[in-house]
Amino acid sequence: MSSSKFPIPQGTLDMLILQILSLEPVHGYGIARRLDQISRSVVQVNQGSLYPALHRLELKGWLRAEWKESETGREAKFYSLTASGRKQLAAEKQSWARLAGAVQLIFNEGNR
Amino acid sequence: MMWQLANWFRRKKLESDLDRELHYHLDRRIIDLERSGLPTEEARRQALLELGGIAQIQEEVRDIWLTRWLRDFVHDLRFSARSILRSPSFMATAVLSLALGIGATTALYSLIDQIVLRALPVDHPERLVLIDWIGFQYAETFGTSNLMSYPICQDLQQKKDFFEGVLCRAATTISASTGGEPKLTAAELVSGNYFSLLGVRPALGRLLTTDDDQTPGSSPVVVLSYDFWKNQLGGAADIVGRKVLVNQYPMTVVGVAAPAFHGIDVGEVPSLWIPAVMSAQAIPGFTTMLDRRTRWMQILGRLKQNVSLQQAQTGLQPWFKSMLDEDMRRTNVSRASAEQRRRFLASTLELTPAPQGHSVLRQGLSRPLWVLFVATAVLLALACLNVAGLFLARGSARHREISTRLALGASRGRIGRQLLADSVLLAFAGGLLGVVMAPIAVRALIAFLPRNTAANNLQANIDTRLLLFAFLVSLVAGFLAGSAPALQAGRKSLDSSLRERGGTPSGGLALRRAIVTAQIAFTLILVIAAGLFVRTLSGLLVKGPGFDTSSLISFGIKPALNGYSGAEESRLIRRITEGLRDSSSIQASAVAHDQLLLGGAWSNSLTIQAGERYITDREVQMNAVSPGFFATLGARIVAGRDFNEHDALNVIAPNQSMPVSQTRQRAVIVNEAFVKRYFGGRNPLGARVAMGSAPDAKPDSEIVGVVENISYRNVREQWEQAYFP
Repeated sequence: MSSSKFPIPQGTLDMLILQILSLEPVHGYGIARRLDQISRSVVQVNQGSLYPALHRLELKGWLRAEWKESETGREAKFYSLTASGRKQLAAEKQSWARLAGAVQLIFNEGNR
Repeated sequence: MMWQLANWFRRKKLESDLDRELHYHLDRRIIDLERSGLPTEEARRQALLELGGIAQIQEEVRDIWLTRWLRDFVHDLRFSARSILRSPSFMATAVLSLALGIGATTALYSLIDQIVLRALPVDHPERLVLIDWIGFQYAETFGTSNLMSYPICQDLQQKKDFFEGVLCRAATTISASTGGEPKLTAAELVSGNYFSLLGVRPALGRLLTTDDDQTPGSSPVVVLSYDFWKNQLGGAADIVGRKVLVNQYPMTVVGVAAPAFHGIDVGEVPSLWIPAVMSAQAIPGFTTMLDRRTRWMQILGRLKQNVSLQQAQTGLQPWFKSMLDEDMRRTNVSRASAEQRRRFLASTLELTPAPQGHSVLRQGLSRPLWVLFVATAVLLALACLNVAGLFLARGSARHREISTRLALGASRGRIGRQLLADSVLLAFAGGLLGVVMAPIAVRALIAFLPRNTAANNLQANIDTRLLLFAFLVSLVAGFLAGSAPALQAGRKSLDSSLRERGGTPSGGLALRRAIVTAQIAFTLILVIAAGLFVRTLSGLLVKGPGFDTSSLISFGIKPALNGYSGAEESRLIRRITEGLRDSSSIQASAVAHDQLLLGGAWSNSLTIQAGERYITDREVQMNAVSPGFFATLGARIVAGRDFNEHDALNVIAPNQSMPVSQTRQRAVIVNEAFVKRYFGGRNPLGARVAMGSAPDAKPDSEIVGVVENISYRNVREQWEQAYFP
């Protein structure tokens, strides 16, 4: 099972977190679960690097954190996207698309 | 960065939040794993494994909050403080030597800042320029430096292409009376646009305007300085409109200048400002304000916004040359000697940036101050080396601690940084002590400056600029002192450290040797420089002023400033001399026009008639003295004779700043330097001289004696002198 997984590319973790949070505010464990779902299929996300990444994004002003009651009734720290976080996500999506497109182009060129 | 600094102050809250967050994660995970069928213990184990170590995550997140170096630095500082406090003698030595170096450097910087660097508190000081005549002016001189005549200032005020405005000013001493006893007071004679051009605002009433500077004698108004108003007049609210007696001449106070403004000379702070047109009232006997042959004012201009200094200087030369030509055709210049004419016409106009205003004190002191500053910098470097040496010695003692830390996996850079934190901490402690000591040193240095009526505006206060300077110096000193031990710690490998563990450490010997060498070199520089200073000083002491100063008392009076006429003044002086002569406790007494060794001199060119007629190529220092003056001083007459009562019959009234040539036969005594320069050792007795260089000056004074060289302005100088009865 683990042989088909590859480690998540450098820098993509931030983008994935932003993407998950763009739908609704989620707490750390929730993000971890979503990431787990992704990693089950394709990539492997080290859970240990999740919290440092969250705090880094918060310090950059892309995330806002808030203590709220969670679905279990216990208080949890919920993260949500700020306006500049949204902008950042859009920018990263765009540059990702361009990079992927460029790589695709090169592959196509080689196959001809 | 700002966030991270802010985080430092709320780190407790951040820690507990992170703790809660991670525990929430763990607990939820454990519950989820239990639901999937794992036993509780196994679920906990796996949850922890997945997360990969809580402590490690906490470390990583903390790094994000504070950035690593900041956290380490704070940690290092605490550790340093603890370890330094454990060895108080080491701390005392290091802090004291750094405090000495930093304190001395800060004190000197304070003076340099105030005297040399600081710009005037006026609008756009950077556009102020000093306008100076380079060459020969063919004029009578009153004052010390960069002098020109009032009419030239008026000419320059028309040069609107280059200047927003041009002001002129002259410092003088007046006797001011505001009801009580008249007091000698520093004043500044200024052109009417002085305040508006500088952009100074009044604290009360109004300041001078160009209307106050139109016709000589027509504007008896003064502006007071804020300090004078506060200290001498108790800050009286009704001061505007009151009269001040300036040399017994009533003038009306129209306003008080802004508190921050102390004139344009940091070394001579005026108490009141008087329009230049009132110069005849402010300087008794001065009647030549409108004369181009009288230079007595400094001229400053404010350049237009987009005119560079170079442009203005080049652009002004054509006008200046034509002014010289025109001036040449005016009365009495046209009959000057060919040599004088050539030098006069070769003159140029020079502009220099003057954001700090004009100051004779600065011109005299900036070089010695910089020299002293370099000396204190060397002293500071020495202190740093000293501390570095101490650190190295202590480093050997702390060897075990460092080896242990290396063995435990600390990086060498980390340990180097720790040692650096030690020295930076010490340097700041030293800097703090230095800043406390600096004002004392500044006060002592200011006390060394020559003192006039005009107080200087130098303060021994600590301001933000000075604190910033001391902070930077401490930081640099800390890094300098700490870099040697830090480098040494960085170089040593763990391997060798462990091997040396039991025995005595051998590393760093070369470094220590280098430090000692540098220390000796720096010390030598200081010792040699100090030796040279002492030699010069003792040389001056041995040389002395040329006369015997023991049991000699000198005092000066300025009766003219209290409204005495020439005749009244002569009577007063005669009464004083007679009183002194009758006193049994006085051996001898004499009167001179100018006091000796006060820094000033009455100077003028002389016309010499000895076979042929020629004019002295530089100004001769002159004094008017009574018979017996040289005997009183104990100066020898080396040839000829002293003045006698007969010579003294037509005395120049001592208040007359500009003696006019009189037709009667007079006697003059010159000094040895004068004979050497103008007679080349030939016998000067019988030659005739005339005061001034005007072509119609009649050489009617006969040289009757030669006196040995005595000091006039100060002890250093030896100049040609001529004495009149």
